[in-house]
Amino acid sequence: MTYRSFAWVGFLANFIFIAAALISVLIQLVIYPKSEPTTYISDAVHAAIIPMDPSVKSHSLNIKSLKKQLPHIKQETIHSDQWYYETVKNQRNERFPYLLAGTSPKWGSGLHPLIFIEKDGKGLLLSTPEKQLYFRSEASLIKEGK
Amino acid sequence: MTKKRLWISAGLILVIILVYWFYFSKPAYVPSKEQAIKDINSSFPKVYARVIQDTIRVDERHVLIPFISKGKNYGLSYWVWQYHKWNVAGVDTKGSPSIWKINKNDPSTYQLVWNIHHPDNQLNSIDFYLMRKRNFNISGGIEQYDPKVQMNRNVSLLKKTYGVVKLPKEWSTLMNSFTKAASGKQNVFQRNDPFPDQTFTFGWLSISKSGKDKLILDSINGTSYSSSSANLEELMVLNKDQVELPY
Repeated sequence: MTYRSFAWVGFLANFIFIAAALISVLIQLVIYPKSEPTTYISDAVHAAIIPMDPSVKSHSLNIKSLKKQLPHIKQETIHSDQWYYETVKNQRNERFPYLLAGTSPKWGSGLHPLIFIEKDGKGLLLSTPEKQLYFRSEASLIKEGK
Repeated sequence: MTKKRLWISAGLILVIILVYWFYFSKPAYVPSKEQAIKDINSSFPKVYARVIQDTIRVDERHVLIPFISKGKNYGLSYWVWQYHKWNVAGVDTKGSPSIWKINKNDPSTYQLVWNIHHPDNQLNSIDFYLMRKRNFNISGGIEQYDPKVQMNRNVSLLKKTYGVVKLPKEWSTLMNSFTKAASGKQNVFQRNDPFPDQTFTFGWLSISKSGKDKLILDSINGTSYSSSSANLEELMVLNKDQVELPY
C-alpha cells in the first residue's frame, strides 16, 4: 500500500515528459525555423567549397555576398526528376557541382545539412535526412580561385 | 613496514612502466629487409616474398612494405606496431589499388596504396576515384535530388610500381560532411537511421601509353593470395564509360 502513491507519482510524471517533448518541438520550430536558410548557415568563417564534379574548378565562398544575400534569398520548388533527366539525357554537366563544407548551423539547432551549390553559384540545395530545401539568390555566392 | 611499502610502490611503478612499454611506446626503428622477408613468409607461407622494394612509413605505427614474390608478383605487406613489435597485419600478392583504413571511423587516416607492375604494357598512371551516384526521389510530394560526386586523384607509375598517398583532404572532408548530415536528428520523435546506405564507391582507372587497358586488368586478375586483419578495401576497377566527362 505504501508503494502505491509512488507508483502514481511515477505514472503522472510520464505526462510531464510527454508534455515537455511536445513543447520542445514547438520551441524548436520558433527558434529554428526550418524554411529559413539562416537556421542552417549562421557562421561561414571556416567554410570551404569542395568541387565534387570534374566539370568545375576550385572556387571559394564569397562571404560578403553570402552575408548580404542570405536573409533575402528565396525558396523555390525542387524539380528533382527534371534536374536528373536534364543532366543524364541531354548530357549536361552536374547541376550542383559544389559542396559547401565547414559552415556552422544556428547554435544548438543540431542541424548539419549538406549544402550543395548550383553551378552558376546562385542556388543552394540544403539536404537533411528528412527533407531538402532549395533557395535562389540574386547574385553569385562564390568566386573563382582558392 | 615502511620497507614493505617501498617494495610495493616500486613494484607498482615497474608494472606501469612495463605496461607503457608494451602497449603505448612508439617504435624507434622500422623492420629491416631481412626481417620483413622472414616475417612475411613465416606469417603467410603461401606468399614466398623474395625482394623487398621499399619500406614506407605511413605514420608512427604503420608501415607499408612493397615486395616481389618468387612468382614475380608485385605485392604489398601492411605492418602495424603493436605489443612493442612490428606485426604483419596483412599481405596481398596482387598489389591492386586498395584503401588501407588505419582508423575505420576517420576517413582522414585512409591511405590509397598500390603496387602494379606489368611487363608488356607501360602504365603511365592510375586515376583514383571517389564516386557517388546521381539520384532523385519523389515520394508523398517530397522531392529529393542527390548530385553526383566524382572526384579523382592521379598518381604516376613511371618512377615506381608502388606507392601510398593519404586520401585527399577534400575527399575526407566531403565524406565527413555526409556522415554528419546523415546522423543529424531533428527532434525526439525521429530516430537515427541505424543503417545508412553505402553512399560512396572508391574506384580506379588505369592510364596506359597504348590505351590497351584490358591487358593490364588481365594481369592483375591473375592468381593471387591475400590475407589480412587490417582494414583493407580493394578498389573497384572502373570502365571508361562509368566515368563522367565534362561536356
